[in-house]
Amino acid sequence: MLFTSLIFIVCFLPAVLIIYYTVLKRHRKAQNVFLLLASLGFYAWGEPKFVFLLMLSICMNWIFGLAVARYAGNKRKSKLVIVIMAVFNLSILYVFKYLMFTIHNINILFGADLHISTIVLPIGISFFTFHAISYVVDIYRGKAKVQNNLFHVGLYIVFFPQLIAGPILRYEIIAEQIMGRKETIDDFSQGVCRFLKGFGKKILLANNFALIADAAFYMKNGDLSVSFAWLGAIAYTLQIYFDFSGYSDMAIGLGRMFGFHFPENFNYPYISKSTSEFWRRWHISLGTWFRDYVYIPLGGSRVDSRWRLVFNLFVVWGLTGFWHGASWTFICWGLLYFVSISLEKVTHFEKIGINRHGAGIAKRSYTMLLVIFGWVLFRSVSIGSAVTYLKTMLFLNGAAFLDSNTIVYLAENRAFLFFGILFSMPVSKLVSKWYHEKIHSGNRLLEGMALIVYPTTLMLLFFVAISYLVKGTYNPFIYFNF
Amino acid sequence: MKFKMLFQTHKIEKITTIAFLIAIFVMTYGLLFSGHNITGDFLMDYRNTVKPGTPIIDRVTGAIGSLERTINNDTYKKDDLVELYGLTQKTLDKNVISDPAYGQIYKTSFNQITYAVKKQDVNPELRSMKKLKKGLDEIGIPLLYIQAPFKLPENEQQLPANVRDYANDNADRFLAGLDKEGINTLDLRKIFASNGMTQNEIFFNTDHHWTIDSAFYAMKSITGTLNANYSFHINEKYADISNFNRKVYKDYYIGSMGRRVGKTYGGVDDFTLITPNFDTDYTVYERDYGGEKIYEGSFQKAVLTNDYLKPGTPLDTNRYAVYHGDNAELEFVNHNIKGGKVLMVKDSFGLPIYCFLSLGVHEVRALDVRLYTGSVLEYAKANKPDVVVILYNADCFGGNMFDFDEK
Repeated sequence: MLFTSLIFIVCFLPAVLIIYYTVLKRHRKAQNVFLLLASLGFYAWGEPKFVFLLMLSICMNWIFGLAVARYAGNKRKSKLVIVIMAVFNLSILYVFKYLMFTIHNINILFGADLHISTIVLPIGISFFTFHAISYVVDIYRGKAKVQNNLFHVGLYIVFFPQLIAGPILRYEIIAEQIMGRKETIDDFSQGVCRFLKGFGKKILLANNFALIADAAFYMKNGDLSVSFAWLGAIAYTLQIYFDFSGYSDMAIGLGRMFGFHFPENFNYPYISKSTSEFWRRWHISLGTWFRDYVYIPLGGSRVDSRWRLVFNLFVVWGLTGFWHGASWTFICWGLLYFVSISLEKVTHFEKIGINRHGAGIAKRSYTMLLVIFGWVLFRSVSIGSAVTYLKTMLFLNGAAFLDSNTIVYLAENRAFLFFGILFSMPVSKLVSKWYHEKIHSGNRLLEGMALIVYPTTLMLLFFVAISYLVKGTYNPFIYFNF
Repeated sequence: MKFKMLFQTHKIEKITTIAFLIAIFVMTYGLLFSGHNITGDFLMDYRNTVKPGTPIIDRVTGAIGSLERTINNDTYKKDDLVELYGLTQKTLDKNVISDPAYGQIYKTSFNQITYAVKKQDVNPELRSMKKLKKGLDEIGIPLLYIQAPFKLPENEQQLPANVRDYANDNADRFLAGLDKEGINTLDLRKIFASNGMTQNEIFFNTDHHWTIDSAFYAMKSITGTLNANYSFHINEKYADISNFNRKVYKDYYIGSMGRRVGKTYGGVDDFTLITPNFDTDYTVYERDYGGEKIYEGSFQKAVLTNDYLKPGTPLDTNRYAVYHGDNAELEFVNHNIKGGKVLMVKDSFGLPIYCFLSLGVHEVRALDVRLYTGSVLEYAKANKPDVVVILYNADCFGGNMFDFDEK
């Protein structure tokens, strides 16, 4: 089920809220079991057959957790459990996500003729697998206590707000909240507003940018002009941001409605002055996961040799790319960041021209260009088509500069592009800061206006977004396949 | 006091939350209790999409899909939400609208709503026509293909600059192919190119169909061709507007395109009803799914389906179907005329045409091959018309419109 579907808004969410806050009020365990069942139903709605895989994952990782806790004093045994757990989880991920890719490449590389029937990718497999690994590893590391209750492990792994597309939760963060969370009206109302913002970002901005990006990326090579290639790449840059950050906002907001506090996943990544900073602001939960469970165990940046650091970065960014999908485009996209981040680390790029305004602009421009080129690679169906697209952008294949597509798409989407670019920068954060300062200084008029303007705007955007859903307009979701 | 305390922090978020909760619970209540038969709609959708014998897991998936569609279709205040959607598009000054059925629909330079047609290979349609012609030649019945216009004219870019419509291009290639095969054609697009009617008079702004005035105007060419080339003797008075009553229903119709964007964006059309001001006497047979309905009386009573014009009916009622449509087989018998039998294979552009044409001949039979499952040739053999007319608008290629065989 999608958050951006009428069935979620009109049926699922009201039903879950009513039952959770009335019948099950003050029965924490029952609330948790109910949320688990609702989450399984939420998942089954889109993938009925894979719900069994999800349940298997829950049961096995619950057992691994118990085993790790039991052998806590025995390093060898607990390590063995960790190895078995990793093999189990990664095998599932490998079979469903990477087996076809492996066989395809073996066939190409060795001229073999291995055949495998199409394997359907279970939605959100990369997310729930990472949740599960985090659960067992955090117990192993002593960062969280083992959870004896199977339902609670299940709830952590599959809680519906973060099940499909994160944020990727580390168990140590969520462990206490499973039983000890406290639902408050403040939290609930902030959650609702966060959800509404994400809902609007996804439907009103991301989906409209998707139409431009799709038109550009599906266009035949000879028909694509330089300007439209740039417009398509920029539209995709905005689409993926509002798509994913919108979904994260909805997930974080829904979590708060039920008393959970999830970590932030985005922090205005497009204002970054380096690709290293970009990754501290983009899909933060994935970056943190790889940092805590891969990079630091490999030695991180506290290693003796520069080559070891480069190797560690290579592993992390290769895996980051591969995590996004079984395709060379994703691997190369990850490696692009390996190269840029390695170079930035080696040259201490982030310290260059810190107090110089011009340097800031140049660094932002460099970062944005690299990010956009990266998204072209990410969006393209193959390395070849990415190269062709990039050549068009860079005037290297004789394409015309301007065409009617650019003019029409710009004219039709000027409002979306304006607000997209505006809201990809911390404008609302600045407005919010300014507003709170004024309120604290006793500006009653502004407070009174905000009481009308803020709810009216959010609700208007909500209804407009609902009208898009009713119309059945284009509603893709990029991170569904990861 | 407690209530006041509640609103001491995060006031704006709390007010928003109250509004949000009211909104979603009202939508839920409206969905369940506003008169929609959700269970019935769900079961109908499920039965239409999930065939008996489907594996259990696919049945579950099918049921989920059916329920989602039912909820989407039965959304509370759906029409108002479509209006909001249209208002949003209008506010954003959009001429290109995303649409699930057509991909995109457009507001033209004449403020009309339409879709664009893709380039099609017309060879399969030409083969069907050739086969039908051969069969009709064997029984001595002539064949005439009439090309009705598509909403977008050939030599004028009414769509946004980056969009090309291929309806006329497809039709041109098809007509050239028919010419090569020796099949007679009448291209109605030409008569509208020079008759002085404006684009907004030729087509409804909110519907893909031509207006009733346009259809009536086209009648003159059709009766002229039948008289000149097919030995008909249709009196000219049946194509003369002075012999007809013309009643304009102001702001009375939102057509199929307008329904997709709402009246705020697409506007509302006038609807013109043209009816004879002389005596008429008909028997009309309507045959669908093995059943038959019979209508007797005047043109107004037997030929028109007046329910579509009833006062108080919603603006998006299909007014155009007042000219008796959406049936597999229709037979109009005009008791006041002695000679002339026409078999017309038609799309929806044919509705007003066969009604008006029936005034000048004894018998008009109309088949819609999307609904009629028999063979057109066998039908012609059985009923022996003086001519078989195929009348389609220029968006008729690439589907099953030329499937004249038994299904």
